This record gives sequence, structure tokens and C-alpha cells, in this order.
Amino acid sequence: MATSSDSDHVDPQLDPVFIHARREAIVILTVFCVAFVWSVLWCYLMGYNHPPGEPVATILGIPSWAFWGIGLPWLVVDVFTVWFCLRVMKDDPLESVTADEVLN
Amino acid sequence: MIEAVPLIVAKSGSNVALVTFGIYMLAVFALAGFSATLLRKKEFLSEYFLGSRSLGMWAFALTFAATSASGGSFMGFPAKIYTHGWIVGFWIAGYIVVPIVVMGFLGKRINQVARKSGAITVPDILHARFASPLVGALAAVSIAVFMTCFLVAQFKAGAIILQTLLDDVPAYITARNSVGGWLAGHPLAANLQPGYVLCLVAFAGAVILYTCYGGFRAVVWTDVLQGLVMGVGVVILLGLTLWQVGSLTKATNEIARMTPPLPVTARLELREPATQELVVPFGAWLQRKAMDSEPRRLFRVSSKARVAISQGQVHAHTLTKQGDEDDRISLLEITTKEQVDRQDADDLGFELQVQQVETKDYKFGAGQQGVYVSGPGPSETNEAGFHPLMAAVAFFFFWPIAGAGQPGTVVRQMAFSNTKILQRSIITVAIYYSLIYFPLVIIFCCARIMLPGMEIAPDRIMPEMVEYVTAMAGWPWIAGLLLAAPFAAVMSTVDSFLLLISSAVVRDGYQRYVNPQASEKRIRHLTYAVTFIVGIVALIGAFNPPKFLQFLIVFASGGVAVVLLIPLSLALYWPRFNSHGAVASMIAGVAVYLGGYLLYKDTIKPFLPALAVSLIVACLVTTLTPKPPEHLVKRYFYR
Repeated sequence: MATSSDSDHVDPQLDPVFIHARREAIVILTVFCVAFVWSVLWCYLMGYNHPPGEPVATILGIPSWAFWGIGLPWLVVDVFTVWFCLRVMKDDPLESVTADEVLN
Repeated sequence: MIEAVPLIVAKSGSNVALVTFGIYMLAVFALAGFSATLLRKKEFLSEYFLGSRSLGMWAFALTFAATSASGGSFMGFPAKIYTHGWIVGFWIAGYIVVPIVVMGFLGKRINQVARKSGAITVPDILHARFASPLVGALAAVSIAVFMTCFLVAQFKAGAIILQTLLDDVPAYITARNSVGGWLAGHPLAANLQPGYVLCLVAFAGAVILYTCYGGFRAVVWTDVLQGLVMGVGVVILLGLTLWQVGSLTKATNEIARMTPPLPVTARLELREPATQELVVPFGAWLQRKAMDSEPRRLFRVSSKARVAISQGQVHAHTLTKQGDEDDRISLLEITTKEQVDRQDADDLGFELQVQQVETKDYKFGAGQQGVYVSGPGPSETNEAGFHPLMAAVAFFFFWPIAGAGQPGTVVRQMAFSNTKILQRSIITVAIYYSLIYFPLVIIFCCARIMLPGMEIAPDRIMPEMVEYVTAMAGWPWIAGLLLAAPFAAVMSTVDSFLLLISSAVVRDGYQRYVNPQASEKRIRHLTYAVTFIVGIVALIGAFNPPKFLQFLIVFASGGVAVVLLIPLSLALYWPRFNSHGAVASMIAGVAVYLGGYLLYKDTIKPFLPALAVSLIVACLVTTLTPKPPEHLVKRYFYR
């Protein structure tokens, strides 16, 4: 029962729900990494070690480093989430439980 | 004895808030009762622990969100924001990806595998995937232990909220005094706060009762109600807060000028000896008037014990746990000039002088402006500040990764009815979290302006803020609804975790290993009993809880995640993964986590290393041991 992650050579006997879920998981983890780099880098470089006494730049009352490093990525990821769930995530059938399949 | 009025916040003296809150609680019990009716018509275990796998979108989304948003979100998180400022927005930034990672990464496969195997609990899934009693048992024990720690923190949160709500209700005051008298007569309980004990028992009793009675469906339906209350509550609180500060820009600029208040000790003296016993209550504002070149200084009483000035004495003393007296009183000194000028000292009915002030060590940010609007944020205890870079990295991973491994969220992903529900629920939860978490940062940064000096009791900032803004707006009735929001968060988490723990004991322990032929009636009775007992154990643990809720919550969340996440993820996505790898991974993960905690006395530092070790050990042991049984691989990975 050889398995392969190469979509062109996927074992045709593999459960398609498993294949789709695995592909979606990889996309999700990629987005996680992008959000991490964006938010952590921006907040650290722009928000840390602010010189005491200097006025803080704000956007809509939010410190600008928090706006660009937390607020904006939050909005972008929300938009991505909507698109991903409605357009990318496969609507796979989930099997129901039968008496034979219930394990004691 | 003259007792000055506790002055943490001005009280409206109205019972209206209590009435609103009472209506909300009635709705919760009604839902539980209705659910119990359904319970009688269905197969007990599947219905009691999983709602018969029939959750629709709103139920799934809101039970997921409400269970995840616990007392930590509505009590511990606001406390951190208030204490450390805007940097806490960065601390929570991992929530940006929580919905898509926690629900999208594992949701579909968990649901599919649970249906194929008939699993109704998290240990069930692992047991079925590997046909291994040991894997299931390890998961069950971990859930029981760590989730009980989590429950203790939630019970504390619930008790604090109730205390704030009931503080000026005559019946409560009478009951509290009775409890105080009873506690004073028992040496072991003498240092417990009677109000806290009374509210703790009331809260725990209510939650244990409706959870026992209604099971999973009651928990889910009450979660829907609680989720709605939380979402609406935060939006209203945000509106009231912004209206009262006038402008967020102005508020942020004022916060930027603040310097951290400092913990001090001082001696409090009367001008003349007291002729009767006097009390200086917790939270009272005291001043040292301006003299010579020294400006006016403002303090807030932060001693845990009552300060009694005994007959004939001039110095105040505080009672320590051993019953000894100490004449140096703990205070919090406000250092921001604007706040010092704005806040009057309390009229206690007698004049006190603050003498011989000694400032305690404050590790990062003392005397510095700008610390509340930038990183790493002020910290009394950490020289590197509240949120140094390594902590920022760790926490960004912690929230989504630990979230994915929480049994409360995993079990819910076994309960939705089809993939469309999952898709829509992820979207709903993403929007819901956006409406809650970032607004909470705004609200409780502004709270620094409206309620100074709350560093003396940071976990009380949410209920105090709710009472304050509603009183200022002239809408006391809405306080009941807004206080229901954090209360709802706590209840929705407590009820879920009670069920998780009881399922681990009854289904994954008793039914699986002790008596697989147990009748439904016996299982039913045992489940009710275990749910009740677990609640009582957590209640006992909550009588003397730690100061910061978030510590317990992070410890428990991290612990259960390092045990479950890697084995569960690999079980769902790696056909070659076997039971040996799963067992080794769980043991290695928890060993590194607990060892790291004992070494560093920190719950976040060992989290990523523990996960990394768990993953490495899983892969190594799996590849060095025989392949899993073919029939299992075929069942869960092939058509």
C-alpha cells in the first residue's frame, strides 16, 4: 500500500477525503507561517523599544505598529478564511456510523 | 468597630443588574432541562457526550467559540491587558489563525475517523486508530489531570464575577457575614474570603447541576446562548467605553504618558491613639500630602488581609497567614502625575498618615513613559519585560497549536454533521473572534484611564469595568447582561470540561477496561456521579487559587496539547504511524513539558520544545518499530 504525496501519482485506492484533507492542511499551515512572519517581524521591528517620552504614532487610535502588525493581518486572514472555506475546501462526504463499524 | 466602606468602585445600589443576570441564568437552566428531555429518547452515551453527531452550523460554531473563550478570555486576558498595555494585543496575535488552523487543519479528518470508528471521545479515536488500550488510557489520564487544573481557574473566575454582581445585595451581605463567622471558627479556613467562598459554592453548584442533568446537548445549547451573550456583550462594552473616553486617539496618548504604579510598603499611623478598632479596607485610596519639596503621593491599599488598628494603638497592622502581625502595609503607589492629580483620597472617617514608604523592586519599565504602548511592556517580575521576543514567538504558536490539541475543541469536531457545516462554522468563528479579542484590547487599555490602581486585583478588572461604565451611562440593568458575558464564557468552558473529564473516566476508563458489558442504566448513573465528583474536586481546588488565572490556563492548555496534538495529527495524516510511536510521543511530550516547567517555573518556555520532542520521538520510534496492522491502515486511509 504505497502512498505518495505527489498529486500526479497518488495511489488511486487512497480515500479522497484523506487526500483532500491533507492538501488543505498543507495550505493552512502555509498561511499560518506567513501570518507568523508578518505579525511577529512587524510588531517586533516597529513596536519594541520605543524611545521614552516620544509620542506614539496611531492609526484610528491604535498604535501604528499594532494596526499594521496585528489589525491588518487579522483582516487579511479573515478574508482568506472566507475564500478558502467557500472556494477551496472540498465538500467531502463524511461517512455515517453503522453497527458493524462501532468498536467496543 | 468602625469599618470604612470598601471603595473599589462606586456601586449603584441597584438590584436591576442582578435581575437581568437572573433572567439569563433561568434561560440556561431551561435549556438544560429541555436537553435532559431529549436525553431520555436517545442512546445515552452518544447523546450525553456527543449530541448524536448532529450539530448544525450555529451550534457548532458557537459551542466551539464559547468553549474556547473561557474565563481566561474574559477575566485573565483583560487583567493582562490592563496590567501591561497594548503589547497584550501582540500576546494574543496567534488568534489571527486559530479558527482556520484549529478547525480546518484537523476538523474534517477527525470527524470522518470518528464516524468510521464510532468514537465518541478523544481517547476513543486514538484507541480505535491504533487498536491500542494503552494509547487510549494515556490520553484519558492526561485529559482528566490537566482539565481539572483548568477547571480550578474557571471556578475562580466565576466566583469573582458573582462577587462583583452581588456585592451590594442585602441578602448576599447577610449570607456573606454568616459564612465569615463560620469560617473564622475553623482554623484551616480562617484566611479564606467569605464572599469568595460563598460565590464559589453558588457558581460551582449551578454549573455542576445543569451539566450533570443535561449532558452534551445542554452544554451546546447553553454555549449558543452564551456565545451570543459574549459577542453582544463585548460590542456593547466597546461602545460604552469609547463613548466615555471620548476618543481612542486621546486615550492612547494618555496611556502613552503613564508610568507603571509601584508596589511599596509603608507604615500607616493615626494622629492619636484609637479608642476603638478601625479598619482600612482593601482598595482604599490613601495620600501623603505635599510637603516641602515633596509632591503629593497617592497610594492604594493592596494588603491581602484586613488592616486593623487595635484599641490604643497608632500603627495599623496587617494579619499574616500565621496570625502574626506586621506593621508594614502593602500598598500600590500611583506614579503618573495626571492620575495622582485626578484621584482623591478616600474619606475613611479617620485620618491616616502614610510614613516610611519603601519601594519594592520593579523589574522593567519603572518610571518610563511609553511602556504601555510599546513592547516588551512593563513587568514587575521580569527584567526582560512582559513580552520579550522569544515569548512573542512562543505565544504566536501556542494559541493555534495548543488550541488544535485541546480535547474540548477536538470532541466538538467529532460532532458536526457534514463538511458544509464545518466550512461555514470556520468563517463564523473567524468573524466572531475578530469581534471579541481585538476589541477587548481596546476596552481594557482604556480601563487604565477610567479605573486606576486595579493592579491590586487585576482579575477583577472585567466585572469592575462593566459596573463602572454602565453606572456612568445610567444603564445599571445592562450590567447584568454584560456580566453575563464573562460568566457565560466561564460556564461554557466549565460545562464542557466537566463532560470531558467524566467521559474520560466513565467511557474511556470504566466502560472500556473495567466493565465493557455495563448496562446503560449503570453508565448513566456513573456518569452523573463522576461529573458531580469532578466538579466538587475542582471546587475544593479553587478555594485557594493562584493570583493570575492565565497562569493555570496556559499550564493546563499547554500540558494537554503536548500530550495529544502530535499523536492525533500523525494518526490522522500518516498511515505508517503506529501505537508505539503514539505512546512514546505522548510520554516524551509531557516529560519535557513538566520537566521544563519545574526547571524554568514557566509554562510557555517548555511548550515548543516539548512539541518538537514529541514529534521527533513519534517519527523515530515509529520508523524503528513494526508497521501498524494492515486492516487499520486500510480502514482509515483507503476507500
